[in-house]
Amino acid sequence: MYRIVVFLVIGLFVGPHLVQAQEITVPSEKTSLPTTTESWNGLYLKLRLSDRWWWYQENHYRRRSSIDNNSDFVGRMSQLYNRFGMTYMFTDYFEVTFGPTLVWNFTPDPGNPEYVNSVLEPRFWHQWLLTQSVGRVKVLHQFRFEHRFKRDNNIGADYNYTDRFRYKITAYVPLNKPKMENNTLFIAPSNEIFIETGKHKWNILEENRVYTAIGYTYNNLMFFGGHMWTYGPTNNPGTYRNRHIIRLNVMYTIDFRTNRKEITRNFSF
Amino acid sequence: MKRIVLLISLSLCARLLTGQDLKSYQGNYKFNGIEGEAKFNYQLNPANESILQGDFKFESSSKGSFSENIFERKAIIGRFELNKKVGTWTYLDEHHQVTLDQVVDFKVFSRLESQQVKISANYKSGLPHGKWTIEENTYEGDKLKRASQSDAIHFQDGNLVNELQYKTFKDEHTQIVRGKLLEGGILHGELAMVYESDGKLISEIRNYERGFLLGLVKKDLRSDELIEEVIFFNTIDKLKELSDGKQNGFRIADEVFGMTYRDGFLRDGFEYVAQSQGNQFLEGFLKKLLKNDELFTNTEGDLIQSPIHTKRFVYELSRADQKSIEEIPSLYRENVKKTSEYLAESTLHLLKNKSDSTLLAYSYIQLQSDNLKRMEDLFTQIESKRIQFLDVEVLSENYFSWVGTPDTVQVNYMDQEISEVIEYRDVKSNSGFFQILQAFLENQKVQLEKRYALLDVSLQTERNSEELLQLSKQIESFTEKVRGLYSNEVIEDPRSALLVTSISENILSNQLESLRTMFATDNEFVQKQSNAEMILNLLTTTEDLLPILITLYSDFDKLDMLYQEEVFNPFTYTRYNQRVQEKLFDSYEIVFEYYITQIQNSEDFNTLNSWINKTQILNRKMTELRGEDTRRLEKRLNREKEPLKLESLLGL
Repeated sequence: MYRIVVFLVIGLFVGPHLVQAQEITVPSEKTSLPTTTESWNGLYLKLRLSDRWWWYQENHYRRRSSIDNNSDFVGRMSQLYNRFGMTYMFTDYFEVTFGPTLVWNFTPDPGNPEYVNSVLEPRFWHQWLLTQSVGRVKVLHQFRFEHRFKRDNNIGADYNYTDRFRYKITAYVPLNKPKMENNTLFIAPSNEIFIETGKHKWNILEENRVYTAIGYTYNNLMFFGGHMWTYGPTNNPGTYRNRHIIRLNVMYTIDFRTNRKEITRNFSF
Repeated sequence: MKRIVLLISLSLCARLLTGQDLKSYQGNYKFNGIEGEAKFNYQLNPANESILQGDFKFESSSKGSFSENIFERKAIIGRFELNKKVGTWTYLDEHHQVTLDQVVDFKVFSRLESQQVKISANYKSGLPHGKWTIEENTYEGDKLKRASQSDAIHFQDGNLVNELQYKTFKDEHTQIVRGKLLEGGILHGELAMVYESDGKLISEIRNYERGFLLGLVKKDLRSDELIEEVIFFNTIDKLKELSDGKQNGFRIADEVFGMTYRDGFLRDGFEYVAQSQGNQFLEGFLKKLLKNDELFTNTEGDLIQSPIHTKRFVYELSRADQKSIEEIPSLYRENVKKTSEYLAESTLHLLKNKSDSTLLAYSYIQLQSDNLKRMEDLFTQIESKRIQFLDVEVLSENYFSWVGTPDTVQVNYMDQEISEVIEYRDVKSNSGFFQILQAFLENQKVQLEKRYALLDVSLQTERNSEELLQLSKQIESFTEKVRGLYSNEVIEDPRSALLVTSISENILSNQLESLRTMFATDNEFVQKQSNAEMILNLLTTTEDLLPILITLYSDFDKLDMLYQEEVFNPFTYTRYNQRVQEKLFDSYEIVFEYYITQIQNSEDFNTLNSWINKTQILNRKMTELRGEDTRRLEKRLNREKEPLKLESLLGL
């Protein structure tokens, strides 16, 4: 099932751009940039508006390591990342979300007049999310499509349109409870692959992210954080980068349904 | 013109006097308790009651049970004036019994036995007045026979007067009443009766003098033997005294009385008994004759008023007599009541033989009970104030000479004859009959109370031992039952099982054993009784508490569930229960655990009961608070861990 979906997506969205990508000359020798570090802090919101509809929002504050110190995680401002969307939940196992994303990408070299301090990267995105239970483990398959208008921070740089496809698989493994429930300490390993197409792209593989998080559910809140390693090509053909990222997230949900039906438990003593 | 006005005025006056217009009625009607159909006219008085007016017709026919084939018929024709019977009335009563023998060639063979009573009556202003006839016929074996015949029955204003002559024909003999009555239904002269009683055909002749019975003689007609002869000498003497103009404290009473003549004798006196058979025969005749008159007979057919009367003397009563008459009935009734109670006490039947004194006491009560019974008719007369019509001097002499004389009680105790003489001092020294009676009853009461007190001691000791024995048995069986309940109850929840085990040890073993030891070692009955009550209380309480104890933890679990809501985590896509009103529930858990600890450690059943009650109240309170806005309460509860403070904050 998931395979079919992956192939379809690649066929429909990525396929036509492969031809264009081949026009760029790629050096035969592969160059790996030094490992850098980043810290991403995010707030995730999911507001339930009705039985089926949700408001989805995430706001990230992302920093990256200094130019001269790749391992300081927080040396430079990296991104202000705001994603919004409306989610329609078909079932507890399948939902679709769509909406805009507004990202401010900050200069790679603060104080350098050749760069503007920050540029806006607007996106339209939509995703399918499928969940399955494998024993006590909850497995999530996330298919995300992003249509991006992106430019470099160089002064006068043009906006390029790219399409991005992401597939992420996440497993929530409860540690202190037999299944995922309230007050559960859990570990959540995940892997996400990014595929991007566009005229300027020389490699459809954009990035791969391996993320191992530890989290805790507490009523309406979920605390979630860990280490993420990314690997993928840069804009320079034949050049690859890898990053170690510390992620700290808080997830919050509110149910706004007024006619919400409580679980009725009438006991008489 | 004046004449016309006068006529109209008179007509209006007549209408006003007669009230409303006459209305006709035809339909269901109950005549002297018998249901049937009637046709008559009536008008309503101001109180909206029906006043019968004019001709009256009543008919009823009924069939008895199917198997008996009984048919009854009643027909009445008469006339009312302002709801009172007037003029001639005829009453017809028929009773038919059909016996089916067989059916041959589609023909039914049956027998008919019938009785018919025809009464022709005359009334004036609702009372029998004038000539009456009664005719009875029987039909048996296809023959109609005359069963009775009235030659002379005359009423005057509701009383039989003049000649009375009535015959009934039964088998081979004739029963007769023949006599004379004065105005007011007063028997006078010879009253001759022939009737059948106790298998004898009796001829009874009575001689009355203006309502006073002077004598009677009874003879068996079949054997020609004299049965009895009673001459009322006292009455004859008194009548003579009166005719001689002597004043001896009595005179002829103005009132009239029933058929039984009384003077100086009671119901069990031979003078009274001698009149019974004849009066019964007379009463039978009157019941038959007056069965349709509510004034004389009730719906059961009993004679409630007699149209035949006797006269009596009335005796002067002194002030002292009148005072005694007021006072002694209550004294008499009290003695009767108490002696009956003691004699009805089943324990005394066995206990009386405990010693010679108890046996003597019991026998004395028995003797006095018999004596009191002999006075029953006397006190009926005293209570109804009809005693003034009885010659108490004669009564005193003939019936109550024993009053005030010493009583001798004789018993056989362990093969020994023992006797006791009881003297009643200062009884006979009184002057009048009622004063003697009063003094006797007072003395009797004193003597009886002495015996009651003696028997009470034995009775109480016996009752105490019996009660203690019963209590011991009750405690044993109840203990076994409750301990069995606690040990046999299958409890799956280990928390509840632990709770039940603790209570079983603390209360049903330790406290119960301690109380049982006290019950066994105490010497005082009252103390023993109090301990037994406490033990039974303990057992009742622990028995009642068991089902509650078992549910305490399940109630807690229910509340735990009640204070959770199922939520959907949209990040992990899981549904789970989430605690609501969390601070409140946390506080509840602390208080609940505290209560449970107290229950487990309770060493007294009253304390245990109190903690269990508190736990139930806590659970109820938590049920009420679910869904309420408890934010302010939860703020107050925040960080508080002390159970007693939490208890107070929760308003328990």
